[in-house]
Amino acid sequence: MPQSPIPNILSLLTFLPLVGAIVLLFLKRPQDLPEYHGGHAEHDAPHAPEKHPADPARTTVNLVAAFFAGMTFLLSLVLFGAFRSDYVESLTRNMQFLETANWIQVGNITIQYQMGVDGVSVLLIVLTTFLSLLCVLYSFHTRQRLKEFMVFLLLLETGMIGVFCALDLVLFYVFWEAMLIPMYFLIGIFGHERRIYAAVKFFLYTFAGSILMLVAIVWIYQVAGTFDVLSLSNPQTPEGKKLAEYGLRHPQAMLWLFAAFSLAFMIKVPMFPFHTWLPDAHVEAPTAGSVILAGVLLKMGTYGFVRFCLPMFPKQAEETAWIFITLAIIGIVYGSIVAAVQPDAKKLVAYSSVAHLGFVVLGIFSFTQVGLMGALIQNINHGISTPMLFFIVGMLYERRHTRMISEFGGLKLVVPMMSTMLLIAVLSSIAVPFFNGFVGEFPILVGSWISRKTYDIGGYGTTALAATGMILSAVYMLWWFQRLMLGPISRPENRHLPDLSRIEWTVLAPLAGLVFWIGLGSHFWTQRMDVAVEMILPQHMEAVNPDLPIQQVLDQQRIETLKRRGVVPMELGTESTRRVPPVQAPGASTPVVPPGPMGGSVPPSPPFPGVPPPAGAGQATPPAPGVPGGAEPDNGAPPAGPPSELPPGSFRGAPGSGAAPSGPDTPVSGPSSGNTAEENR
Amino acid sequence: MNYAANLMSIMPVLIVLATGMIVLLGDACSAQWRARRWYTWGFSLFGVLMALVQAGNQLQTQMATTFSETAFAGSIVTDSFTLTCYVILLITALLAILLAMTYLENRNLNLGEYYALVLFSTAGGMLMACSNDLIVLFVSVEILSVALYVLSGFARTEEKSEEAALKYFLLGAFASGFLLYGIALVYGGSATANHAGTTNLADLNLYLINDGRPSVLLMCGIALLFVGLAFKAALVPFHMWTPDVYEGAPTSVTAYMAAGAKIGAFAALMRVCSALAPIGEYWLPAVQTLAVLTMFGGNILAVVQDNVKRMLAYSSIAHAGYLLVAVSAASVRNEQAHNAAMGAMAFYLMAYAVMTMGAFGVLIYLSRKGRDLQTIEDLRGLARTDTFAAYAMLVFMLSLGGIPPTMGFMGKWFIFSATLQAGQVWLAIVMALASIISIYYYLKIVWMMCFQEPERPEVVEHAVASGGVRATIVLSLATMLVFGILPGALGILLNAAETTVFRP
Repeated sequence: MPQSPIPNILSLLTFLPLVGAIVLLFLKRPQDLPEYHGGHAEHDAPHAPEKHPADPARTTVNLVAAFFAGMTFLLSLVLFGAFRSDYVESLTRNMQFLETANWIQVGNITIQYQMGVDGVSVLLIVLTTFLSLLCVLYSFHTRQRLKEFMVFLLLLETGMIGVFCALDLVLFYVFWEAMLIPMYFLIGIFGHERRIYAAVKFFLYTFAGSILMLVAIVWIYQVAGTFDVLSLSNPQTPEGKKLAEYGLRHPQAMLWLFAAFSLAFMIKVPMFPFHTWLPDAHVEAPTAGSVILAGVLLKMGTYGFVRFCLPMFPKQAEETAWIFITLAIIGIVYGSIVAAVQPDAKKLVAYSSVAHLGFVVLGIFSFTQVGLMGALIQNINHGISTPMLFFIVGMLYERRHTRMISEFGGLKLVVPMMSTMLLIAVLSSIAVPFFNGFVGEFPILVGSWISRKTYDIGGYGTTALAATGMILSAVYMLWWFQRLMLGPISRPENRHLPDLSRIEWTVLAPLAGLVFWIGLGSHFWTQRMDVAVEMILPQHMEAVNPDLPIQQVLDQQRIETLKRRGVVPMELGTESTRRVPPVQAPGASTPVVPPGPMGGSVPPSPPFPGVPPPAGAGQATPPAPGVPGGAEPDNGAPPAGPPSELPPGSFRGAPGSGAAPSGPDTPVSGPSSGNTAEENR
Repeated sequence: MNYAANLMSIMPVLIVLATGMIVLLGDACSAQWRARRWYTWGFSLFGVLMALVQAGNQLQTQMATTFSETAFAGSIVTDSFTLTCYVILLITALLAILLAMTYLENRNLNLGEYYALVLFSTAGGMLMACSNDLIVLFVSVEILSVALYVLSGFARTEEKSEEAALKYFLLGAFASGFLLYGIALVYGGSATANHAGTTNLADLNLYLINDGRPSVLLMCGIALLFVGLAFKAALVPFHMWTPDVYEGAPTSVTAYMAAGAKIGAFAALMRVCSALAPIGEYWLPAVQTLAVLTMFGGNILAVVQDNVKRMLAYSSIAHAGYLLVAVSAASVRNEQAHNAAMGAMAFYLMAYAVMTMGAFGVLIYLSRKGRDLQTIEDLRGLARTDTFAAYAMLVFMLSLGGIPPTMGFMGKWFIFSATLQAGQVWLAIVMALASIISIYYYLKIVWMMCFQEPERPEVVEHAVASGGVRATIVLSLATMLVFGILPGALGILLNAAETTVFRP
């Protein structure tokens, strides 16, 4: 396992903000500044605090909060730097920096304090610490109850990092719930007019979803005897085997368990019928609250799907994927249309989140590695573009104390820099090429296009419908931008708005930088998640539409890659022929091997599952089980076809992913899912 | 077993009783003592602490030997469940006494018998936990209740308090009648051709194991028994007295009543249910129905309350429902589930007692001279005027709502765990749904305190909060958080059921 430069870095990272919050508690409470009561906008901008007498207590609180948020961010960068994207171990998969200790041990129950990160969570952690730091900086000029604000922000940060680190179900649940409280306070104390309604709605919705998850967690313990996520999601381990076997014996009960988890995550994402808390919470929350809410909290839902639902309930997730896809597409279209007609700038952004998160869920449940990778990247993208939009809406609000779009117009002439930043955020949100949104949404649509799951719902029309979301987003975003920034200056109050202040620059510039970094250099980010994606959605779980003309091209590409890496002998694929028809989904190629020797039993190494026929090969040959040349199985894992883990098509290039043991994934779920793949063909 | 050994086994109860007597006599006989109320207060505290030490010692020995003994010809049993309940009750009494002093002074009620009555009712509750015979159970219920009747009318000059006491007394007497009649029927119903009936729970247990099918008479007796105990535990639909009594009684009494009486009642219920477990299929549906009714009834009615004390009263009803879920889980014929449920209940009782005392402690802390804090509106903007009280209250509310990282969450978690072990999945789900409702009204208090601006921030004057009240709040707060994060430290509670005498 890669050694972290700092021992127990994850615990340190998680609890450093908590320490900061406790330190803040002992500081002197700064004087409240008078609340805004109308008046000239210019004097009220956040960058004009000089008119108030300098309050040393204020400065101290700000500095301490910024110090802890900054240290946490630096620490997360250290983590990011030390993270090895190519690291794989048979049991812990891509998880690194594991920390394990017995936390609660009473009677026959053991709950572990277990933390670890893989490629998916490490990026989300960096995003969390980054956004938290920006929020602390942006909130320096909070007028009232500054100290409480910072305390809650830091507590929230602890909860969020904890959620992404926790690898024990109970520990995860504790962070997941505990994080609600500071958010509840951020909305409730510092929000706008209907803040209490929004805060309570937010809390109740999330709590209602997650309490059933708690029952499911306890139930899983009764079944498998552990809360350890890693062993539960790996059917190789005895615990994971127990869970998988339980699923075979009691499919109905397993479906309920899956439903309980999914409900919690669906509410958090939020997906279509459960989304109503989101606009309220977003609109009423203070800017920093909205930023965290959109940037990180919503990601917890999708993260939950990826971390818990797919690995622990692969079969159930596959069976019910059509529900998620349908809801996601409804969310995309509905969210976009509703966003278009909002008079309130913040509400528009909030509804756009519903649409964007719909894309993420679509990518996850397309059951293709491309789609999943796109979803994970889009997760990060949305955590950059939407906070940017919220920051700018917040800045406008602080200048004019209104969020109504009709109150603005022609601002480009007054605040050119802000308008440029907004344009960047808007284009990123629309997913224009070269901007980060494109890097996320395009693979999602590709994944959805080649997915059998979406195809089964309504043919290619399903993906086409989802793709209208991209057009719709251009409609509402550009129109919104036009109404805010272009045209003549319609209101005299807007003539003298100040442009970005130094703090505002500090907040927006890094975000804008990231927009382009991800947009132009996506490889840097995707390679961190390559292995994790292969672990979460191994090849045999993929549901790629076999009738796809593009499949041949993809297969050819895969062969080329494998050859280049030396995983596959150069001559293979050109010389050998196969019995099966040439058009063969790579995902479905596992069971191609005559079922006889395979039986339903535990895997006699699916030989070269990943080697599809070359494009245009007329006949096929059963890949002989003994064909040498696969990667040497290390870690004592059963011989397996490592290449099977490679994503088809675009996202290649996890160095060393050749060592990925794919065998472990087959034993229990393998035969069954393999068979379904065959039947569906 | 000789007489001394008999007495030794109920030593903590005796210490509490003796302290109560001394306090009562001292207050009645010595003018000097009466003049300095600190004596009474301090001596009561001392007595409770002594009993606590004794109970703790006994618990430790018990754990080491895992041996349960009966005393007084089998009518009293001292096992780890008993001793655990002792500890929880004594902690409750300790907090109640800590809370009382300044509060009573502020309301001109500082009389010595207050402490004596609290001690007596604590002794009653402790006896309920150790009773192994229905007659002892009845007597101890009466000791607990009579002291509480008096306590709830302790503010003699106030109509509301009078009303509460009378209501409580009349309804309580009625329920005692049910209980006693039930005991009589059980005695008759358990008679066979060879020997007379029994009120001893261990014998009853044996009888039921050997003679599987209960008679109608016995079933009627059990039903009446449950009615009587349900009244004491304030289960829906036998809860009518609770809100009125909680509202009318002085707050310190309410605090004690909410925690102490419930612990006693549930300890007794658990004893009875364990003994009756062999015929669980006959009465378990009734208990489960009661649990569902209580959880939903308590929570739904609490939502619409404006008065904090009434709201907490309904919330305590809802919590009785959660505890009843644990009772139901303990009543299945599965030793592991039974033990887990007993442990979960002990843990939840502890959590419930401390958080309830804490919440009422904050109310006492905030009560003004001569007047209790009444409506939720009175809490408006508390975070601005008294940050400590507001955020302490926040923790208690979160804990009552079962949100991590508090002890209430862990308690709920253990109950879920036991319920699923017992195979009663639907009950766990119902409990989860009920606790969603409860979140709403706990949050209502939180938003009133923290999100609203105080109306007139300058005129808030609090009674001089004593060190006792502060200490109670801080102690409860620490308990909530420490054991919410590290419940393993209280593992001794969760192992409470290892040596119970009954086989389910």
